[in-house]
This record gives sequence, structure tokens and C-alpha cells, in this order.
Amino acid sequence: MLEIKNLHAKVDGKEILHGIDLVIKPGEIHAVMGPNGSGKSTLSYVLAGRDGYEVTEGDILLNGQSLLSMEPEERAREGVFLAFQYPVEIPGVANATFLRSAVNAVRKHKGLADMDAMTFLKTAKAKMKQLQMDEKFLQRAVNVGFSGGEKKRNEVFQMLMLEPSLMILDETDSGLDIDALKVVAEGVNALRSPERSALVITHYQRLLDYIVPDVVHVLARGRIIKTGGKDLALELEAKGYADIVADAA
Amino acid sequence: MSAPSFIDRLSAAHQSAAASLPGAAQPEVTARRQAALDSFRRHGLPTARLEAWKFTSLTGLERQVPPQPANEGSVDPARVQAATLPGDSFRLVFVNGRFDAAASKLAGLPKGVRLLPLSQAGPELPAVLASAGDDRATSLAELNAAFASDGLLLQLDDGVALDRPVELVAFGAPALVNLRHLVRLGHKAEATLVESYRDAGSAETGWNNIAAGIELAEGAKLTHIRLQGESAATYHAALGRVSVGAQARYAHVSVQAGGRVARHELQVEFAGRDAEVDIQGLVLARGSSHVDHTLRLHHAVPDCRSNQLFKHVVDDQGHAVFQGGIRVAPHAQKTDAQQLSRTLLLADRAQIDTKPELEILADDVKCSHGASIGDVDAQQLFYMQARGISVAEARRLLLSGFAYEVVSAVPEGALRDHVEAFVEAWLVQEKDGQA
Ligand SMILES: Nc1ncnc2c1ncn2[C@@H]1O[C@H](COP(=O)(O)OP(=O)(O)OP(=O)(O)O)[C@@H](O)[C@H]1O
Ligand SMILES: [Mg+2]
Repeated sequence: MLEIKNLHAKVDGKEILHGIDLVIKPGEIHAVMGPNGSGKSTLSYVLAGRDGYEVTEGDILLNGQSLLSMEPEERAREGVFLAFQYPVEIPGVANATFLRSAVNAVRKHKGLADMDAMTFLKTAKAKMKQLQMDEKFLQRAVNVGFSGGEKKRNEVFQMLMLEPSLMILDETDSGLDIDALKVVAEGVNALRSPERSALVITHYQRLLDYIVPDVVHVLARGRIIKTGGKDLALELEAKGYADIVADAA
Repeated sequence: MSAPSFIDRLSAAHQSAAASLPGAAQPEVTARRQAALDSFRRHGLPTARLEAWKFTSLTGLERQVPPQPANEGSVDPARVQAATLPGDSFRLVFVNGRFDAAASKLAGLPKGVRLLPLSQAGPELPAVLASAGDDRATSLAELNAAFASDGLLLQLDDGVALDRPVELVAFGAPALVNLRHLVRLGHKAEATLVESYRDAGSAETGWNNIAAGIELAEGAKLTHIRLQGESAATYHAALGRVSVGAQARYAHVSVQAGGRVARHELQVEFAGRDAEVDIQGLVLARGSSHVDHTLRLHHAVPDCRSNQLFKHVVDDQGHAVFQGGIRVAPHAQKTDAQQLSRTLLLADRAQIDTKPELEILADDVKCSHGASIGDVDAQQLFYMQARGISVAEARRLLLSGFAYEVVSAVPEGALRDHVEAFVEAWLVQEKDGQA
């Protein structure tokens, strides 16, 4: 599904990722943990194709096809979805308008007809119910004035609507209360399938109780310094990063 | 001998047109028109040497527009329909500066409402044609008074609230069109006016020279929407003068989305305490369109509030001008005057001149102004792209979002939908992004 090979990336002329190797097979969920500033969000932006995140070495393959020359929107249409650590506010643009454009862009790419307004509304309302989101969020401007938790929920709502093949969740759990965490995790789990993979970036083991990973990686200073099973997350929760980072140095 | 000047040719045109103008049989009116023409002749067209005209030049006009009033004409009914509200309204349509009765709707006016075209007015004409000043900065309004061939006259008696909007829809011509309007709302009267200048579909250069007077008595409320969407060959110059009585409310939304050179100057005078004025403007300029909003708000009395929000979207070699003048008289204490100008420049050669002009002579006031200029936000763009939306579509959505702040100042419902459609029609023509 996703193959990251010796990935080096620069932001503003400064190398942040120093050679990352990671393979996610179809249906697998990989968690990435690591100290603040270690490069987790940078990795997620590089995967999504953000301007200014320059890959200087290595490659990223999605189903065998390199993403590097693709624009962010092409990657999204190919099935890459990034749930942002800091969702962006877009004043004046209704959530529904935005999301319908997105849904139809992805559908067009798949050779499907536009989703008409009625079907869109019905589908959107069903997904919102699943996430226990109030329908009024459809008419509100994208993320404007949303609480931290509401923004995260809105990210997952978009993901449910777009049904990507690779879900990248960048700290989707931070800012969520305990009940919301469960709801959101159930939302993600509902999308789990043998063809769909996920890269879950988080600081907390708790999310991984709900979204159980197949593999856990520790990212520190732009490198993956340890990889293990779901127990690794428990170990990190108990001991912190100090020992592992020291071992790797 | 050299060819007659533009102004001489205009004067000659006035000689031939005078007999057919409204009020030609009223000596007071003909005298006033002649005085207005003389004033215009003395001062000539405004030039960039005037502070109020610093950024907007009419020099192309002299070369491009025939200095004579428009002939009669007609407009494709589909254009009229597209430019008008679908629901209930009272409507006056003007084509080439003449009232078009067939396209208008004036039946069923309630008691206490006088609404008619200027060409059918009589006793009101002297008031309608009253001078706005005898100087170069207002010379176009005098030219307008000399030539005014038609316009809208709306008077509401005390306490009358119109439940339907009044529409004024004007289509220009490849010549000089002078419309002149007067709106007077009595004590606690309420109305909504939608004033529209639209593209008649001609590629030839025309000139719309508009003057409008608005008088709001104590406690009156006027919502005034102004849409300018003329052809890229049209010159549009308008002077609006508003007098706001005590406790009156004037809410104005101006969208300018067309014209070769389009200028709307709005002068607002607070005439009584505790009045409120909210003015929101949206400029959509592309090609080589030059669009100017010049405001002069005069807080002449204490305890009044004014708010100005102007947003500009400028593409290609477009040029937007915003001059926001606020004067607070020495005794106008407790004035609250806010002003904000925001601009998106979408191309290297796009321009904005934004100039706040605050003259605050009272000390116990709340006044602020601000301006921002930038391109669409890169983070917002990326966020949309990351959801599969193309750059071109994302930019359109972002522009529409930028415009929405002004659009949402229009009362919700059919009226807002109308304005939104007007704005969206401009946005869908936005060229596809580079990506
Ligand atoms: N534009 C930039 N210029 C310079 N350094 C940057 C830039 N953007 C990010 N960085 C640096 O790159 C490093 C990695 O940042 P990143 O946001 O990827 O960390 P993270 O692992 O997601 O941290 P957190 O857990 O706090 O979210 C940080 O040291 C950050 O300061
Ligand atoms: Mg991060």
C-alpha cells in the first residue's frame, strides 16, 4: 500500500526528516509516536504534498506509484487523506459547500458522476450522526469558531465522506474528551477494511486502545529509531522516550 | 480653427436636448439646468489634482465617449429578468436613461408611498435637481443636473414601512446617460432599495453619470443595496449624498463588479443624534477595470455610529481604489466610527490604493481604521487541495468566502440570494488557476 523509502525532507532549507523507511501493507494500521518536534507532522505534510516541504532524497510509493510528482489534490484523489493536527479555518465557506466540492472532485477522479445535493445531504447527515455531530455544522463556515474537539471531529467527518485508502491521522486525539475519543475512534474503525491502511500519529496510548495498531514506530529527530508491536506504545507510556532516544543516539 | 472641445460639444448637445428633458416647461427647472451646465463648464471634468480624485482618471472618457445623450434603445428581456428580483417588488427599469414602463412594476403602491420615474415628476423636480456644490469635485453632479433625463423618485410618508423592496435597474448605452434619483423617507418610515447598473450587452463605450440624494428623517430605516455590473467598456461615475436624521439607520451594501472605470462616491452626513450607518463594499475587478469607492462620512453631531467594511478582489491589471474619509466635528462626542479595508491582489499587476482619511476633532470618540493586503491564504489553499479540490476551484471558493462577509450584510432571503448570485456570476468567470 504505502512504501516510504529513505525519505529525506527539508523545510525552509533545513533538513527535518533524515531517512525514513516505512512500509504499510493493505489493511494495516501503523502508529507513529515520538517527542515534540521529532518530525511527525512534517512526515504527514510531506505525504500530503504540502508546498515548501521538499523531498531531497528517497521516494514515497502509494500502490507502487510515486507520489512525489503529484499535487496535493491528486494525492487526495488517489486516496491519501490527512486529518490535520491543526485544522484550518476558512471563513465564509460553508462546511457543506467545501465538502461537496471535495467529494465530487474525488468522485470525478474515480469516473463517478457528481453526488447531487440531496444525496450529499443525506449521506452527510448519516455520517454526522455516526460521529454524534450536530447537523448545524454543515452550514457553519469550515472550522470557524469550532472548539478544538469539534475541529478534530470535523476532520474525521470529512474522512468518512471521502473514504480514503490511506488515512493519516495527525494527533486527531488531542483536544478530544474521553467520550469524543471513543466516538471518533469508532468512526475510524468503521472505515477499517482489508484494503484500507492508516498511519496514526499520537502522543497517547489511550487512542491505541480504541484504534489498535499492527505496528508502532518511534520517530525521534527525523528518524525512526524503534519499531515494535502494540506493546511498544504501552512501554513508552510507562517509561517515556528518554531511554529509547539515548539507546539510539 | 481647432475642433470644438469635449465640453463645447456637451454644451451644444444640451441645447438640442433641453426641450425634451423633464421639466422643460417649468422655468425654475430650465433655469436650474442652465445654471448647472454653466457650473460644469466653469469647472470641467474632475482631475487627479483633486484630492478626492487622486487615483481615478477620466481622461479616456473624453476620447472614447460621444459627448451626447443616449438615443432610445431596448434591452433583451432576458437581461432584464436576470437583473431583477424574482419575487415581489416595485420596480423601475431605465434603458439608455429613459424609463421603460413595460419592464417596470408600479401597480399596487400602498398609501403614503410616492414612487415614480423622474420623467413623470413635476413639483419635485427643483428639489431633485438641487445643486450638490459649485466646484470641480462635484462638477459631474452638476453635469448630471443639466442633463438628467430620468431617475427614481421615492417618497415615504411618516411611519410608512414598505414590505417589498424597491428596485431600480438601469442599462447603459454607448453614449452619455444621466440618471438622477431622490429618496426621502419620513419619520420612522422604512424601505429597502436595490439599485442596479447592468450590462446592456453592447461592446461600445458608454458613460453613466449618476447622482442620487437620500434623506432619512428621524427614526427612518433604509437598506440600500447597490450593484454595479456594467460592461468592460463603460465609464460609471456616481455621487450619492445621504442625510441621516436622529435615530435613523442607513445600511448600505455596494458591490462593484464591472466597468472600464467605475467610481462611486458616497457622502454621508449625520444630521441628528443616535443614528447608525453601516456601509459595506465589495469590489471585484479584473481585466483592466478600475473601480473606486470614495466615502466621506461626516459625524456632525454627537452619539452616532458608523461602520465601513470594504473588501477588494483584484485580478489581472485591475485597479481598486478605496478612500475612506471620516470627519468627526469638534462637538460630535461619543462618536463611534470604524473602518476596515481588506484586499486580495491575485496578480502581479493588480493594484489597490487604499487611503483612510480621518479628521477627528472631538476627543471623546471611538475611531479605528485598518487595512490589509494579500493573496489568498496558502494554508487554506493547501487544506482544500488536501481534500482533492483543484487549485482553481479552491481559489474560487476562497474568493467567495472572502466576499461572503459583505454579502451576508444583505438581509437573508431572496435579497441576499440575489446579491450572492451577482457575486458568484463574477467568480465563475475567474480564470482557471495556473496549476
Ligand atoms: N518552516 C519551518 N522552518 C524551520 N523549522 C521547521 C519548520 N517547520 C517545522 N520545523 C521544525 O521541524 C521540526 C519537526 O516539526 P514537526 O511539526 O514535524 O514536529 P512534530 O513531531 O509533529 O511535533 P509535535 O508532537 O509537537 O506535533 C521541529 O523542530 C520544527 O520546529
Ligand atoms: Mg505535530
